Amino acid sequence: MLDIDRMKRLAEELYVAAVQRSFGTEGVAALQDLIDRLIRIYRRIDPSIRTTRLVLVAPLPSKGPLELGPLLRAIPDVSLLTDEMDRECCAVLDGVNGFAMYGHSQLDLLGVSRSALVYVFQSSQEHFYIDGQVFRINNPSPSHASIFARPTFNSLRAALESYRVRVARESSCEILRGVWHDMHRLFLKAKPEPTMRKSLNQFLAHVLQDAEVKPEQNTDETHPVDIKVTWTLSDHRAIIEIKWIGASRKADGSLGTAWSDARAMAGASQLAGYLDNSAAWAAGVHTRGYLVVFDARRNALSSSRTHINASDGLYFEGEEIPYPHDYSRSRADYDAPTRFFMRPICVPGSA
Amino acid sequence: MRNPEAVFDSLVIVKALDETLRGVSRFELQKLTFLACILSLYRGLPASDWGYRFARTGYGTPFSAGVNSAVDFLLSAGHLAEQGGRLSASESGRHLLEALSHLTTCVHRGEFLAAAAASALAVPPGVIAHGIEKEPSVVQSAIRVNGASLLEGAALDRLYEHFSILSQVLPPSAGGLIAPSVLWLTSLADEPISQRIEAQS
Repeated sequence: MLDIDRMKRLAEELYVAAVQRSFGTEGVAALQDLIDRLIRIYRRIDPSIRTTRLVLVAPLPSKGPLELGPLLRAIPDVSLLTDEMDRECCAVLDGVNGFAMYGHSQLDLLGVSRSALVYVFQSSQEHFYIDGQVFRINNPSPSHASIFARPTFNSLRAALESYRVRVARESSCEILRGVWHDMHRLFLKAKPEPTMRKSLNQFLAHVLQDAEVKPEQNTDETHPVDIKVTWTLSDHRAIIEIKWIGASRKADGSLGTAWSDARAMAGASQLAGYLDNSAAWAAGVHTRGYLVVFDARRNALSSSRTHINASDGLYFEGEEIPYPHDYSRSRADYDAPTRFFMRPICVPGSA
Repeated sequence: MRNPEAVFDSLVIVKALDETLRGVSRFELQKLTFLACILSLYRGLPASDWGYRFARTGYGTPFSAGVNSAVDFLLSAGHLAEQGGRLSASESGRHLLEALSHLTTCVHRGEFLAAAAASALAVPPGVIAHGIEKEPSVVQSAIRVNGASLLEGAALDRLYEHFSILSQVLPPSAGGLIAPSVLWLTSLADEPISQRIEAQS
């Protein structure tokens, strides 16, 4: 049963509802136009490398013409964009596919928002200014800088590689940042697996085309499945086993479990065993196994250490796990293991 | 025999998102036609009027055999093209859509399909899937074997309870379907997509 009070709070915070409240159907139509054009802009201009502010304005015809200063140039179609939006700029939707470019300085965004919809992208954050109010967009997936830049991957392997680089390496995801016991990322919290699973599950659910991504309860070593991926209209499945290696601390600060690369090697064997067993009861279903290893190892990590230099912190970054048996070569249903090295925050000169 | 509503719906969704998203996947199409059907229920139309049904299947949930067959037909007839797993409308597909839009059974559907397509653009990609996973009949079907029909029975009553709350928060007369659709999805998915912050002048 939905909670009405919670839904009212959500509606107060929801930018789409704000547009409807303030500007009705005209506003919602303008919002659709703005989002449509924004998605197409971001196909041409990657927001993740943007260093300047982008302001996009959708006029509301009933509010009359906007006073934005002198027109700098007109762009008849998104497809004709080259570098016009690379610098800080204000682009007003013009016609079906075009933009009118105006100077950006001295823009009163809140004032403009009383007669138009305003979108702002700056410093990897995006906001909507709606009738004098500001709404920050929550981006659940750090794989791209904007929810309107749509990453999609056809293969799980490509998605895992993107997660490795964009999320795991710098713990870029808000969920994944929760695995750390300390601010310099030397020690994991005890039992970090559920958090790691949640982070990876959310990422994959957002970026995989045509796939259902579900977390599974990894109940024991005989059922080492953390995430199951099912492709629609297909008999193909992927099961992902998650392992972590490194050191952990309990909530009271005492040392918790520490795992070496031996755990990853054991995980590889467990996954192979599970695939053998699952083939018996899932006939007709093509299952492929993926082992992912969250690598939080640090060199010379003593229990008293609170800071780490780059030499010790990044010691294992290039150290691949020496699996005694490469199942990906001997089995068609086994993908090569993926290691997500998780960088610490290094302090120069720390011993 | 082809289901004309499924053919129409598939063409509408693909055409609505074709240029913006560079095509639509079958997976997205199944989800969005399901969402459009839910929006028609929100407007007070009976589920039996939608023209085709959805179920939990081994091919995915929700899944409509009607939509799947429609896509197969449209591809074989050249009204849709498929590249890299993404469907796009051809010129003949757009002409067919124009012709179907005059059918009595299709005239009123555009509003629901347009709102579903717009919802897909207004939220992060996973929110649609996560929200639909929590739709009462989808949740209930999880305890049954594949083939469980959706949007019927006791679960449908629970969906109408959702609508009752939704209409109190965003009165239907106040505007279109996009805001209620997005609010419902984000509420079920438990993923707030925005928050109001202090305005700085």
